[in-house]
Amino acid sequence: MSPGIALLRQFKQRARASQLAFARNSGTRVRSTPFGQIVRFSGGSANFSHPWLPTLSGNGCTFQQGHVNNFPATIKGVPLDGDDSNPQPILELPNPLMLDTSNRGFLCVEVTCDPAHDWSIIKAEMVQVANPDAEDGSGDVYNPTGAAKPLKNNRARWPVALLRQRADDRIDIYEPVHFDLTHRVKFFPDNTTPQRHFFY
Amino acid sequence: MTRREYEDHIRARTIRPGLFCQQVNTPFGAKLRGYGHAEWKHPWQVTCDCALLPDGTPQWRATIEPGFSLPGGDAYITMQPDWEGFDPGVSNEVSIKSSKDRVTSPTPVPLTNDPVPYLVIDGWRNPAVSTSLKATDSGDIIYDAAEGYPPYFQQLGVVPPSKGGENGDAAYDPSRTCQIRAADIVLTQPRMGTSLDYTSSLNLAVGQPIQTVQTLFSDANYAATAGRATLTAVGKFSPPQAASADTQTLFGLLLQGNDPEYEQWHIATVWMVSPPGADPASNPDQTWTPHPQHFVFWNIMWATAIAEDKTSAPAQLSIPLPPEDQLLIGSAVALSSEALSELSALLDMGSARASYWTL
Repeated sequence: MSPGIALLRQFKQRARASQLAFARNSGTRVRSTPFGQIVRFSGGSANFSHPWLPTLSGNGCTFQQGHVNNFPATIKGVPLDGDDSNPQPILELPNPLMLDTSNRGFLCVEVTCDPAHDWSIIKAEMVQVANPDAEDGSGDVYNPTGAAKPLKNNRARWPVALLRQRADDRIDIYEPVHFDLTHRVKFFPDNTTPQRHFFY
Repeated sequence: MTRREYEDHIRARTIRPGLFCQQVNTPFGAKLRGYGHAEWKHPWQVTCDCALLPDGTPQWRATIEPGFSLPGGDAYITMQPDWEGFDPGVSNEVSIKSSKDRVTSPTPVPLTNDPVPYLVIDGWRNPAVSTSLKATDSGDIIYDAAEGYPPYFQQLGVVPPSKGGENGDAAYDPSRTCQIRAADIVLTQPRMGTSLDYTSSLNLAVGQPIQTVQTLFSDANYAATAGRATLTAVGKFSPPQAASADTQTLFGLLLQGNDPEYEQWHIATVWMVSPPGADPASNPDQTWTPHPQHFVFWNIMWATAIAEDKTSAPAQLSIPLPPEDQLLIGSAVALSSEALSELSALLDMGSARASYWTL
């Protein structure tokens, strides 16, 4: 084989090796320059499957399992990721949604404490409300001291997701909380009446 | 095709992996593999871009990823009436309210709005020059050292900061001619505030003065702002004044109180770096490069140091004396009693300063 033909074969091999034999589809971009072809992919969003991660589905919402003081949150008594007897529960959202005057609502974890046992949590239910500090969950948020206000029957709510209803009735969801929660109660000077509930 | 042309052909077909791309070369072709993920944008993450106004003036804008201040909800940015998001033709919850009446005044818009609002950054400070000076007894003017900037910017060729002294300008270094400017992004959270109510009365039966002091709780600012946490861009962030609980000792001043009824937290600083050789007096335009520096990366939860205690009664301060002595020394006691009440109020006054934590 002559040296010229061998050299030509090398060139052809290099050309094949550098040939872009793929179909450009969505997410793929190729930019040609005299010094080469630059290929870029559109990056997807990072997978951050965290506690309380909400997923809207139809008229309901499911959550990744979350805990408050290591107590698992539930929907009608079923853990958020289901158990041996029940599939993953769905929080049925009210129709219409409970929204404030800004078309904003919250998905909250509502804890019930037991005063006889150091105010430990005995129940953690997911609910949808407009105002987490209101007994009936309605109205605009009004809390100038922060933390969570105590509710009747030793309860308190803390939002784990925010809902925004757009003008076209589309609902967008945002997640302010990404980790399991810790809870404690602050009392009035009598040490028996709760003043505020702290979630952190 | 000549050999030169063939080489050019091959060079032009050479694959160079770009963003999110991994390349594996084989004799039969290159394998390209997309990997990874878009940069994760955390709450409060700042993205800056420069828009040109109709008159050609550059305007730097900061778009902020939705962040939450709980309890409450997402933060807001006050937008001017000419913002395109107020157009009734744009479908979003803000325009619902403006569809009937045109927005005519600055209006707060939530970060979760669609379209998203943005902060206009138009007040910059120069951290490389001195901004304060003092005069000595001999009449000399001494400049304080400049604020400075993170060491990272030294690599970008930013002018050295002034070390102060007789000259407040930035030091000259021919290899470092890029200008730098900065602006702070601040979150303002309204909250309950406190002040003292001081009343003085006279017990006519015994001629003894009685001073009553109690802590008053006010949510006026919270009500006026609907409790919205608001983002603003300022030239330089300064923490709000605390309620007067420091060293005021004059009568009356202890009880004035100047609780601003809000907290401000420093979210980020936007540093702007110019091209080399920029005019030292210039402001950032479209040729400058933004470098956001974040101080908060997660959503915020906040609470005041105290909450209103409706069960507590006002404190009454009086010095009990036998009835026969009341009239005699009552007036003399009044002055010291008043001082005692102020001191007691100072010690017992609750500060409603709020703290935040992230989750």
